[in-house]
Parts: sequence; C-alpha cells; structure tokens
Amino acid sequence: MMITLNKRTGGLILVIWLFAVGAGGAEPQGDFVMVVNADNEVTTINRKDAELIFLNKQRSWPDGKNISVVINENPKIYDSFSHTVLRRSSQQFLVFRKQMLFRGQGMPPPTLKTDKDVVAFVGEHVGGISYVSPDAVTQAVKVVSILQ
Amino acid sequence: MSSFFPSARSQILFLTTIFCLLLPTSLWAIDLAGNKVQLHGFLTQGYMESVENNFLGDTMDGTFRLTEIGININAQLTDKFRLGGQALYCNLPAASTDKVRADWLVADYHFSDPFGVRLGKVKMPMGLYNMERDSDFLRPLIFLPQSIYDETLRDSWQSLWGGDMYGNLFLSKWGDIDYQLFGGRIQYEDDSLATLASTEFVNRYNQQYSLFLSTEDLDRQNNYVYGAALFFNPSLKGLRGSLTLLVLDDDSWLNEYQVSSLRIKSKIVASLEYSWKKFSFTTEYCETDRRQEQFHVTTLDTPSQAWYMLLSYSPTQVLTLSLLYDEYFRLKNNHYESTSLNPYPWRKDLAVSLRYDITENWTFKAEWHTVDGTALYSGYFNPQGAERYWQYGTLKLSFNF
Repeated sequence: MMITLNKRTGGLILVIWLFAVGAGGAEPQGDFVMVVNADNEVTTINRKDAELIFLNKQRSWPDGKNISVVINENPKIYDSFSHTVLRRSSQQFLVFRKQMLFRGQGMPPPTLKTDKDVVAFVGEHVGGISYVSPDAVTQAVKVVSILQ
Repeated sequence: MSSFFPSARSQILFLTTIFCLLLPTSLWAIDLAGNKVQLHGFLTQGYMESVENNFLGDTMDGTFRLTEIGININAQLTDKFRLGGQALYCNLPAASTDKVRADWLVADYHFSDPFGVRLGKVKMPMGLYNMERDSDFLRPLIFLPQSIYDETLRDSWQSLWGGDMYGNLFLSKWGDIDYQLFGGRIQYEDDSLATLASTEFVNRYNQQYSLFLSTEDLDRQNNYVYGAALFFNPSLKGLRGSLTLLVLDDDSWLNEYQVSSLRIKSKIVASLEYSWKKFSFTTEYCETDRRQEQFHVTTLDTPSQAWYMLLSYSPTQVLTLSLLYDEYFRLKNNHYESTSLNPYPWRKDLAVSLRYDITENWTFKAEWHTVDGTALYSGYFNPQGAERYWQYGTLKLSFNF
C-alpha cells in the first residue's frame, strides 16, 4: 500500500523527529583532572573560578601571579571539561574564544592537542593551568580539586 | 567580474586572499614571541536575491556583492597591556563598500579583573550581537534581525572612536556580570548610507520646493555617542541576559548650513538567551526615543519599537536550524500610521535559516526571509515604490583562522 503525505503532514513529522532526536542529548563523559604548575600554592579551585579563568575574565592568582591558560584539545576530555567546568559545549566555547578575538576584546589562550604538550606547558609556566587525562600527570604539575 | 568587483584594487585584494587561503593552513597559525603576537582573519562570500523589492541595493536580479575580508593582529606587550587592530574590506550592496577601513584599533590596559580601559576605535555594544556584526561566522544568521540590527547602519554604528571601560564583577552564587561604559564619536563616511539618507532628504526638498541645493558637499557628523552595557551570566546554566543603553547626537551640514539633525535620546535594548540541550531561544526588545529635525523643523519626536524571537535547534554540533520572527514599528504609539513617503512604515520578518559548520574554520549558511512592510529604507532602494509584501534569500560561505 502506498502511503502519501501532504506537505503539511510531512513537515510536521520532520519537526517532531528532529525534536525527538535532539532533546535526548547526553552530556559527554570523560575523566580529566585540573592541573596547575607544581610550585603554585593553590590546592583547590571553585568551578566558577575555573570558568572565569578559562573565559579570560579572571587573569591572576590570589598571590598576584599572572594566570597562563592553555586549552587542551585532546578529544577524549575536551568535551567533558567544557560541559563540566564551563557549562557549555566545546562548540560554544570555540565561538566564545572567536568572539573575544574578532570583537577586539582580547587574545584567546593558546591551544595544544595532546596531554603531553599541555603538561609540559603548565610545568614551564609558573602561573600555568589546564586539564589533562589522569594518567598524564607528572611531577611538573599539581592536581587541584574542583569544588562545585 | 567587473560588476562583482568594481575596482582593480578589490580584484587584487580578493585574488591575493584566495591565493593565501590555498596555502597550507599551518602557515596561518602565526604565533610569534611565544603566543605574544597573533595574526587571524576571515573571508566571506555570499549571494543574495530578493523578490518584489530591492534590499540594500540592486538585489532583485541577484548579486554576489556580499564579500567581507578581515585581518587582525594582536600583540600582548606585557601581562596587562595589549595593542591590536583589524582591517576590514567590504563589498556589500549597501553603502561604504569596496574600501579597506579600520574595523577596530585598540590600546588595551587591563588594570585588574574588574577594571580595564581600551582606547582607540572600539566596538560599540548594542544588544547581544552588534559587536560581532562584521564576523559572519560568529552569529546564527547571515542577516541579524533588522528591527534592532539595521543593516543600513552597520557600516557606521559597529564601532566608535573614543574608548571604553570594561570589567567583570563576580556576584558569588548569583553568577557574574561583564560591563562596558563607552563614549566617543562615530565616523560617518561620505558614502555611508546614513550620509546618503541625508542627501536623499535634501534632494526631495529640492524637488518639493524647486530648489537647487547641491548635495555634493553634504557632511554628516556625529557630535557624541555614549552608553553602557551589562551582560549577565547568572548561575542558571544556559541563561544569559544583557541590557544596553546608548545616547547619540548627529548633524548634517551643507557647507555652513545645518540641514538636519538626529538626537537619539535613548536607545535601550534588553536581551535574553537561554540554551537547553540542543535548543536555544533568544529574544531582544528595543525602544529608540529620537528627535529628528529638518531645516530646523521638528519632523519626528517619538520612540520606535522593535523586538524579535529566534528559536534555534542543533541536531548535531555542526548543524543549526533557526526560525526567526522579527517586528519593527517606526512609531511605538501608532504602529500602522502611514506617511506620505511610506504607506507601510513597519517591518515584520519571518525567516528560516540553516547554519552548517563544515570544519572549525569553514561555515556555510542559507536563509529565506518573508517580509511584510517597507520600513527601514525600503523606499530608498526602491524609488519606483516599494511593495508591501516581499522576500529575500541569501547563501554565504565563510572561512576564518
């Protein structure tokens, strides 16, 4: 039996399908730890403070040292970090950094692709902060707990 | 090619950019002095066609005059001091086209997180999107809701010469606020649409009273613009709001004689955006209380009213479908009062759009608008008389690095 749909019915089915598929979006899961330079005295960090730091709105540590942020684009943890700490998707985070740049309001932080490079960056910068996979941590960096 | 790129300079600029874009992208990761100096840019090319009325130029036959090229450089000279600037080339159906201009040019000193100062040519905040109007890939639509983001003022109102104070205020459990206080002067180019509108008014006056006033030396000046913007980032996930206010004063001069003036006593834009899972809802409301004089006679002294709502749905991270409803009324207190020059002084726009982020650097967009009304300069682009119901559609490809 041939089923025929008029344009209105077809459009309605398409809209319902799109909403049904879209509403069920689960947030990505992936283990990561927040790391700072090993010489940094900070041991914990509030999630909101971390959000402001990665959005370039908080630029110095409590002791006055300049914060050096690096974005870790390791796909295993990038989405998870973005949702958990920044409470936005990695795509929204990318747009935010581009807005800052093309509005003339600031320079976005550098990005690196691997945990190894990120650990090296944070280890070399006294005000460094980023996030890596738990098994990538070395003595050059210190893990700090994120307080919700 | 000649109508697409009216001057040799624009052809050279375009071809140079295309050549550069064909180079390996790694070359574009230009970070000098350990990320202290960065070079970025973008290129967009679009196609627009309208039905029944022209929109922003001769668009009824279709036009590729929808090109934007921007190059910016930033130098973080110390932890607190930055210099930066962006050069912008536009070839658009509206005015101020086919020339390279400074989009923004700033010296930025960040004293502390709650307080910084930028001097030079700074972007003017107005609503959620005014500061990023020149960067197509940063917004959901090709043409932002015209009720608030009138494209004919884009070339003039996107930035100002002067400065702003800015900062972030942490409000504990309530979230945080970004603020900007700005002031300075807007620069109207001789071929900006704002200037051409003053020219058209004088020409109409010539015709009406059989005068022969030359408009060759007509000069539109901004005496001042100042305002404030607050961007709320509350603790509720996905919610963002903003409130912006600006005050502005313009005069148009013909030699030594003031022919018209516009004083915007207040332009207030209230904005709200909420994202939930794969949906995003944005709405903005605007009132512009203004007084206009022509040959020292007050011709308009009442607010206009505008608002829109935009619903977006992203089934995947790279695809966004949007539905827009947008309304503008020239007179807040009398939405449908006709004038001798415009029998339909309102604009109601229903639009659908698609945005596809092909990669982090490439974006494709398509949209279609169905419009009722001819407010916001439709008469200027349709001197033979504008139709009440009309449509326009646009395709656009953007590259940024």
